[in-house]
Amino acid sequence: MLDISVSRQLRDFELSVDLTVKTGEYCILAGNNGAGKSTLLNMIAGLIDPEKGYIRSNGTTFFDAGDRINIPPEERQIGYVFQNAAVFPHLTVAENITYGLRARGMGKSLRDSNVTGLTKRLGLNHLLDCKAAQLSGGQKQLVALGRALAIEPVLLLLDEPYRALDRTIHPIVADCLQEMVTSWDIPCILVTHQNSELDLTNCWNCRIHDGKIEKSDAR
Amino acid sequence: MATHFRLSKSLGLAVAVLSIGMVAAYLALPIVALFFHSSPELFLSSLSEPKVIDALVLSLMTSTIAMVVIVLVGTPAAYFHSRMDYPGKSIVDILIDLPLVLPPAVAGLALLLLYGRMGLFGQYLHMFGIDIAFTIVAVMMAQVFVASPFYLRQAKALFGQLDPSYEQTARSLGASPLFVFATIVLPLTFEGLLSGLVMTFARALGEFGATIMVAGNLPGVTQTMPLAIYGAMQGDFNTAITISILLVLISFGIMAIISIITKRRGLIA
Repeated sequence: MLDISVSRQLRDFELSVDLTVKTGEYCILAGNNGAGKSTLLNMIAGLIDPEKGYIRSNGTTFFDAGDRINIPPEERQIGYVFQNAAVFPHLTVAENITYGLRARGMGKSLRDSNVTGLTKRLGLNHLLDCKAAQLSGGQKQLVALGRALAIEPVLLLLDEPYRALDRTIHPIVADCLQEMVTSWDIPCILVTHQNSELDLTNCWNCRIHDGKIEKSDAR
Repeated sequence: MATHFRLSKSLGLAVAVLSIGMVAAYLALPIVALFFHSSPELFLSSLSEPKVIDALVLSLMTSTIAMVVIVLVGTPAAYFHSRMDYPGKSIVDILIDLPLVLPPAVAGLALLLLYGRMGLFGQYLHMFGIDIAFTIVAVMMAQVFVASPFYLRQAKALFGQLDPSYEQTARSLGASPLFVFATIVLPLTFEGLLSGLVMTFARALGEFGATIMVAGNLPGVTQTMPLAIYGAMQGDFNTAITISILLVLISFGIMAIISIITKRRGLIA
């Protein structure tokens, strides 16, 4: 379970969020541009520090202002897909997807065999040796998703992951996500601009406005 | 109408040929004169003179060390400078650019007033028996001072243009800051850093004004190639020409390297 209670003064308003996402569950987080969606994800990932509050995941405290706990991003094991995909342009698709395993010191052959199932699922097998800079927008998003899933994250953060995706691959992504999130039993926060276009079960919606969760259908 | 068009077109062509020709000739003729005044035999015979060899070795050595110092200190400095907001950042920006507009003689005098025997720091160093002015160390300090902007500005711009989400993604995937720098930041900025590095080396190699003020013109000790040209002008004109030709050849080599690097970069992007 992901348990968040954070606040931080932003330029125009105070971001103040209390949010709980159970394992195996999707929280679809909607809101306008500049409402604080990406800032919230960055806080959970450890890229921005909250001023007050705590972030806990499955009994691990990532951040606690009171106890002065702040685990660096590389130790949180969070699968984070950025809005712009941010695939590393100088690396191949395979090198992108196995980057997290390489950072953990895993050897090349082990890395590659580790992700074959994943790359096949995402339909990237024929692109493994392509330089990521040459991919289309949708392919980049798939690579970014695969790269985040390859580290077997304890939590998934997806910032508009399907914006650049061809509609025909939405079901592939939804299936892949569904299976991983269910089998690993992890919480997932999915940020969206409009309504979610992915067909996911076990999800609930909430809306963030000027840094506050406004409307939520959480049970 | 058609004649008018043809006329203006040929007029444009004439202006283009004339102006480009003037630029090219003005820049090329001095170099031509340099080669005209020498001959291959003369060049090769004065090339083996100890004065020339000493100056060449000293120049290459000091410029290389100055370049290494600038890279080792300047790379992290430029990185953090471009990634952080801190009080006085705009002042540091100005300081980084300062050596570009400061006359080298002023830079040399300023260095002398700081590190010289009577200088602000120098007087204390002198108490411990350390003298910097008029040594090879002073040569390199002058080079670092005047040449650093070429690398620092380039590095600052490259790091500033790099999308931070690459580094943030890499961190969230489990990479330490140092691993991110080595596997993401450096490869994505390498060509640009390299061309900044080459420019820095070239500037250090040609450094004259600051060096002569703070390091003097001692053959074999602080006499780099530009200083040796100046020294040889008093009597041994041929040696001056030979060293000049050497510097021209090295400069050409450096420009060639840069153009190859930027071409390769163009292909990748």
